Amino acid sequence: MALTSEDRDRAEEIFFDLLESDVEASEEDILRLADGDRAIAAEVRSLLAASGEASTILEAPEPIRETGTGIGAYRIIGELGRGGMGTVHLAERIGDYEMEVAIKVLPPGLAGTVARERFVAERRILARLEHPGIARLLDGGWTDDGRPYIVMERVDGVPISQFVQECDVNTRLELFLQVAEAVQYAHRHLIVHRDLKPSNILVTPEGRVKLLDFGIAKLLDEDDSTESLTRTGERMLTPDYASPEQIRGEAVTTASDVYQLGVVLYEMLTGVLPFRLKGRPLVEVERTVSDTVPKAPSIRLTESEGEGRRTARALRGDLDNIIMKALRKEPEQRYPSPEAMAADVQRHLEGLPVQARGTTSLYILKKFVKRHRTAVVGASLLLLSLVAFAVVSARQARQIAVERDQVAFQRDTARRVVDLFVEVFEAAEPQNDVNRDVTVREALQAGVVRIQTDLKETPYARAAFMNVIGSAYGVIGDREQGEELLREALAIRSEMDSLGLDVAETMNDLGVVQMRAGQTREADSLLTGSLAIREARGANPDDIATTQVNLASVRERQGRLPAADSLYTLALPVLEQTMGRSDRVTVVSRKNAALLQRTMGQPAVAESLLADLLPDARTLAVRDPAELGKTLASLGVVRHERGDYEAAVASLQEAVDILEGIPSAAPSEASARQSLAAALGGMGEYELAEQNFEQALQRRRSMYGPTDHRVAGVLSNRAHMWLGAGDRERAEPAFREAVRIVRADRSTPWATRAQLEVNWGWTLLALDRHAEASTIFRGVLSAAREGMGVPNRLVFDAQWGLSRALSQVGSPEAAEEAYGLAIRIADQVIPRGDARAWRLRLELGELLAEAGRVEEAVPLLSAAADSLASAPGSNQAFVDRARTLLASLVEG
Amino acid sequence: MTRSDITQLLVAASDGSDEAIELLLPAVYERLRTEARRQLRRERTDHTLNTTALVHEAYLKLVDQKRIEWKNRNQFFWVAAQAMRRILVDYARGRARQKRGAGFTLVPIQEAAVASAEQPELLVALDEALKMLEVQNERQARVVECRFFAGYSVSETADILDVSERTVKREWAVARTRLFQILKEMIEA
Repeated sequence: MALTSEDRDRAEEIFFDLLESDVEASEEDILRLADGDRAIAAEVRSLLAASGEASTILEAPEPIRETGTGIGAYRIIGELGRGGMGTVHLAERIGDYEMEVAIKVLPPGLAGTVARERFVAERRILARLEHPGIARLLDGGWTDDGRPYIVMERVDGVPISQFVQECDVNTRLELFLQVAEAVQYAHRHLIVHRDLKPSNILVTPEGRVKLLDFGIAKLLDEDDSTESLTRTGERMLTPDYASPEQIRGEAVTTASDVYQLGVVLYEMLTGVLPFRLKGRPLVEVERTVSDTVPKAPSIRLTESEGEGRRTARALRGDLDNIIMKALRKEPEQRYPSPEAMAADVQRHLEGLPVQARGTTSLYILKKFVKRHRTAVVGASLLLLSLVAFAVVSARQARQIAVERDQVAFQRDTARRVVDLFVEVFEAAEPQNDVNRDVTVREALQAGVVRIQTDLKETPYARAAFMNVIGSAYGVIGDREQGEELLREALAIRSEMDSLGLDVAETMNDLGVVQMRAGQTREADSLLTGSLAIREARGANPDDIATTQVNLASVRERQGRLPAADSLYTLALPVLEQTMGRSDRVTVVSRKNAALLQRTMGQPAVAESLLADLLPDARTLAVRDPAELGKTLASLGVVRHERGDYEAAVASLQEAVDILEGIPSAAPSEASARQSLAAALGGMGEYELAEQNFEQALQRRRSMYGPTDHRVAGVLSNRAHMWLGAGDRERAEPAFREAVRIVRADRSTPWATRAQLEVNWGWTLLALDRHAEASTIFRGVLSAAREGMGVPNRLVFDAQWGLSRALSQVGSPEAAEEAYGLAIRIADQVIPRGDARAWRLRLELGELLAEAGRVEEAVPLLSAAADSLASAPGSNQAFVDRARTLLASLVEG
Repeated sequence: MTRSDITQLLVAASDGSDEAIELLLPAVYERLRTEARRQLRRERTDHTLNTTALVHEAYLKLVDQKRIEWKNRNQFFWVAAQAMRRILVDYARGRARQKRGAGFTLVPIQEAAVASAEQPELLVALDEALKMLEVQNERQARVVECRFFAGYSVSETADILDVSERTVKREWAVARTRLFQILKEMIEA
């Protein structure tokens, strides 16, 4: 009868158990083990029958036997251990049988330079170390066939985890102090061990700790070339003891040894490892070690039976805190050295207070944030736990006797929780993605209910939470809900101190919500107010600068470009100094400031600012790759505008590649794709361009809905390409649709709308619909006059377009006046000698000639003809046009 | 294939790309085979080939360690064990043809490398048997590749296959017995 695969597994399991236990099992025993299943029992018997012979026929290869051979002054007499890079032999000194040593020889076949160099590196490391807690280097040299070897003190001991099984807690701690001291000694000699685990930490029968195996240790003072030799990744590292940075393959420092000491102490005290990693998928292992906070040792023991529960009481508090501090995910949060950790253990032994603070629920929350920072569901869960945390803190606050301290405590906890929330929320912000909003909205709603009921008596905390949830509503595009909460927060906070910093904070946040909703006027007054308070009350410089850059965004949206520019000038140096050049807020603000230069008609300035920003964005990319993608995209756009299509396509393609891999960056990816399409169109790669336009369009429609100005942007760019390719029929309906959308969508930024209208106006000119075109251009120009102090390229394009339109449908006087103005603007915003400046004069000359004002026309035309012959962006057709007209005028 | 390509493939493979593993195997195979041939051809009387050393050396040469993490590393050794099996079996096949021997007898084989030279027919038969075993229990076949063909220790094999050491020991004992049973049937048939 055929066995099922479950039956086979079962039979194999029984077979192996019997094999291991090494007892003769009778037929009855086997049948009983097989739960009476005869087929399984038969299978077990057949396996058992074959196994005796089988094991002699197929052998796993043994390590190359060197027993009996001599190495230097030693003779190999046995084997101590075996690792990936060779065997550790037991040897005796020839002529001195009393002296046993451990010898490590580079195995034959590994004579290649890399392995050899590393072997030599280990020898060099060991030579530096002379400490009773570290197995001593005795000798070293080369075998007759040219392999390096190391002779070490032979340690007669057992792994520390095994040794401590019979010890009480204090004895275990004393032993740990020895370990920490040996590691500290190595660090003082600029050596990081990197592979601390019980099997490398032996305890002799006398109770002396000996550290072994510096095979992957690293010399801190050597340059990078040896780094590749000693890198952790080069050897099979069990993940059980690896620090998060080791697991991720990042730079390893002394802090990794501190982490591993934490794992070792954890195991010494509880008998188990912080995480059970064996047999779990690799991705999960990495995530666990990087993100999960292990259970505190005492909690782990409480889960066990008998003995463990008693030990648990001894661990609760100090020892939990000490171990958890060593096991922090962030290296800089751990003990600065093994010595510092040992000092805390010593303090505990002496009954003194330790330095390690309790791993608060806030710390655990922080981990939670990290883990869920990109997940939508995570954001909503997080919110609920944050509120729960706030409620607990609020209750604690009520127990504080002095009211002033109570207020300070509330403010402090609320502030910290809020910071966390904002961090996660901003990171998980795929802007206005409709699908996502449902869960987040529900979570926010639940949060509001809890705030109203549970935080009734703690107004500070309540206001802080209303503030943050209100901002969150703003982020998901629900202005009304956001505004309501923020206004309530504002009311509570104003009652306590109407011109306080809390009020300024809420005004700032409400201003941002209003700005996002396109309410620039309200946003302006709120942010201006916030800024005034922050400045008057001496707020932190970075808070002041943050409000300044928010206000700059508002001013830009209003078209008040110089005002925005001067705000950036004030804020950016402060941000760079307080938050750092590669901080996210700084990078975003610098990018916005650069883009403002572009809007102001200074693409060269914009490009150099962005190129400057790029290295910092690349630094930031470790934490926030999306921001790098956005910076590259902006750079690409500016390069396109400056006519450098190839560089533009390169930047934009890199941007798209980066952004594509980040789900929350879908909106930016769509923008980058659109810009890439436009740049490709500029190069005449219409097919590739078309593909990218289509993808961008689909993304945006599904993200924002079909009537958002961001959809119009894609349509307009696509139409522009068709226009350039000479296909007016395809260009026109797309433009019309785009213009209709931006006019209806009130949140359209000024520059976006103006650009679109100007493009549309020129399309109308191309279609000979001059009257319509002139209306469009007039609209743009009057909006620009309200907003801007200086003319820019958009204004120039509009003014030129208006001149063209008027020369066809207006009075000659009006057209002439329009051209005069266009020429003056051109002299300010168009590079000197650029063809466009001379084409304007050519057109004005034509206008004058038609009106019979030949004497005025001729000098204009001849100057234009000469200059157009050599001006960048010109072509022969313009020159011919000017020359032909000149000739006819002179003849006439 | 350059060092950088291989490193890239390893990273992709550990992210679960089957395609990357498929591309990786021939590259690793090529490299190991060249070196194995060179060593086997040296006409050493003992025909020894330290397979473990060979794989480790290949790893150091083929992979850019700065860009690799331990999980990628395990992936490499996993692939290398499979490559090692093919190399040794191919070599044995060549030897068997030279010897024009007919059948094989069940004699103890200590090392795959030695067997490929001295009992080539047996090793070829073992490979056939392993293919049959593979159908029934793939993990057992992988354990045999790691332990027998590549010469990894129990703990190394456990790391590479991401299972416990006990599982490795069990699968090794069972696989060995099953292979013996299959080989015996082949002789009797």
